[in-house]
Amino acid sequence: MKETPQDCWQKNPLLAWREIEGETVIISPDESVLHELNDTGSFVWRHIDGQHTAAQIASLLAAEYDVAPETALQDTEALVADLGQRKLLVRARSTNGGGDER
Amino acid sequence: MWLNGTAAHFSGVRSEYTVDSLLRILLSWLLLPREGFLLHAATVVRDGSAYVFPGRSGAGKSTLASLSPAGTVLTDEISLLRREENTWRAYGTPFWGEFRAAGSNCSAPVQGIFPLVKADENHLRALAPRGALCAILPCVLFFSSDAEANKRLLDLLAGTVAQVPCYELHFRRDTSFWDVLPGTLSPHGQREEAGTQEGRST
Repeated sequence: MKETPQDCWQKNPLLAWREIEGETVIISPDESVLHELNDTGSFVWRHIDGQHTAAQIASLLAAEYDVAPETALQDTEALVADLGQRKLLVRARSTNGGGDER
Repeated sequence: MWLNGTAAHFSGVRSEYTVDSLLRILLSWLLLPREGFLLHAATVVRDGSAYVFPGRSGAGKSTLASLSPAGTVLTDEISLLRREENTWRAYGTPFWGEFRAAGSNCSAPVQGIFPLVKADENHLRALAPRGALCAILPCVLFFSSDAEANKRLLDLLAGTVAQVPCYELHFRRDTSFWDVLPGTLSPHGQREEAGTQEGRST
């Protein structure tokens, strides 16, 4: 199935985040909450740019960490869903005017 | 409130805590562009160097301050840390904890940052920069939800933990914790005088 821009996510622009020693620390200023991502989580986070879909990031993850593609996809989708639920990610703005930003 | 030179005067204030809260917010804002921040931490000066002990309520800041020699406590509640000419200094602040006395209006170069953990025996655990950042972040006083300000703060704190030695201090409720605090520290787990990463005192 062809992916659409709505399948892409981007980092919530309201966040402050920084990668240290290969792991990521994220501050959610509105809630004063601190989030931490491990190295694989940070890999996913690094590639969330509004352009890559979860499937594309999972492929990169599988290649980088030598894990089965289906495992990488499952883990990436679960992480992206979790980050989206925590509002650390927002839907990428559609380039064809058909998407919305949440 | 009116300003007179470098002093601010307040009138009609019903509770001192109103001024306290205002000053905390104001200071946290003013400090950021000046490479400084407020930290929930007791600070004790020993041999001319500041030992900063962050911790949230109940972590033992006032206990630790009360176990330190008279006249050495800069603050038992909120410390002001600022980078000046690439050196971090700790200042006392007007905010007090259980001491019920204002902190000292002076400063000293920071020897190390030691997040507090109450324990049955004293020891240090070296913190790498990420662990140090995660340990002190919950103790930082910052009241803005502005994304750019928070990014700037995060960058500043990342610089702090990269430059200042950070150790988790597990401490017993007596003065013996000073035995595990080394005189000379280098960042990230190298105790220059002892050559080990961890000290113990029972």
